[in-house]
Amino acid sequence: MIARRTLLLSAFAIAGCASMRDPAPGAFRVGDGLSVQLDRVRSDFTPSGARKLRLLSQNGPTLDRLYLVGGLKPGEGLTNRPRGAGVYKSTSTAEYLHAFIVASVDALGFTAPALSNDRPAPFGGADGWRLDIATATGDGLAFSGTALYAQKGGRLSVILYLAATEHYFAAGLPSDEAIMASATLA
Amino acid sequence: MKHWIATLALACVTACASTTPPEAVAPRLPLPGAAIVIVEPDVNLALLAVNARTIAKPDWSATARDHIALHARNTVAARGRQALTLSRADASAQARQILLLHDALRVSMRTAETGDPAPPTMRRERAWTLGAGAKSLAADSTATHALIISCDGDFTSALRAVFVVGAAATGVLAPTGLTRASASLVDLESGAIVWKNSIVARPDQDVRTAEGAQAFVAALLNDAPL
Repeated sequence: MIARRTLLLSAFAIAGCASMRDPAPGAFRVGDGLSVQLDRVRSDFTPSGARKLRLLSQNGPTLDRLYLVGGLKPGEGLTNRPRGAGVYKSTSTAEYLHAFIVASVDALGFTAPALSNDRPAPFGGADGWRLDIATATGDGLAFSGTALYAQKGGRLSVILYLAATEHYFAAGLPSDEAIMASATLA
Repeated sequence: MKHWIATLALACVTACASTTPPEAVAPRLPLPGAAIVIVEPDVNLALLAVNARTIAKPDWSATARDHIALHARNTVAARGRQALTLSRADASAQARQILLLHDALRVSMRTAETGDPAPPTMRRERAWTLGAGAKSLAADSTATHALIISCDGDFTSALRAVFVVGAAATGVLAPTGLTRASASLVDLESGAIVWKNSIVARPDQDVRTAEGAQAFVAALLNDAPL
């Protein structure tokens, strides 16, 4: 059943950690314009080469992931080489941006992400959208998620929290809700 | 050489730095006479071909799975606990999710153990859990704990062995096969991992043979609080 493939991919993902300075509690700036307040120390698993994205985790990226994305410009995405619907366009409609989130979660290595409960939500003083996500790893481990995004000045910022549905999503959600509530957009 | 390969592999999972939030949880260990669910071991063996490609060997895996399961049951019984079994095929949907979660957890536990330093939230001393859903591994039994064993191994083909020896003669280190296993003892009430261990097989611990598997399981469970 396991997952030699998953273990190897995870090892590469962990080895790909770019930052040797894990974020401490307090203000934390990401990319162009996004700032959040972290309530506790986090481990940084940001992939090498990422400039506007930080990947933080409490228990390791095979269990929980918090993606903070600040100020994407048109043509950029959550991965280094975004394709298709995973490419941000400044004129995007809510429908396109929902598809952008789905394509991005898929590009991050999850399967068949499905959105639900989309609703308007404030994001750092901007009018944003909040979405719930159901997806799974390639091996079938169910993940739950929630995303908050907003456009400001033609740039897109996203906070995306994904965690194993069993235990880890609920365990980490209050902390990540607090991070979403603390966000500011410059 | 195996140590060198293992060290190199483990180095791949080291990353990042800083401070730590230890989570102290008093482990609840199995009492004498307690029932322990032994989950069907997850065993994946392969042949390491001369060109370094691995070829899955389901027959080897099945044989080793039976050997490891037998010796795990015998170990639990010999220590005065009741050994129950859980076939992965018969596991409920939630139990299968818990086993997949354990696979994911193993990656983090390995990072915590081998990081130098480990990421700040994943220090060696921190507690790990599968959550309350771990109860699903007990099914309808009165088991208090579950033992989960995973084993992966590559066995060097004869041609590969010749190549490795030849390469070594010219000063080149070529990878050979390696068998690695891990075991976790899970408190089914809380989901807490109350004990864990991981080993690399010695040459006399070929899990494809009854004798080798017995020695392998003995080493893996040597200090388990069963």
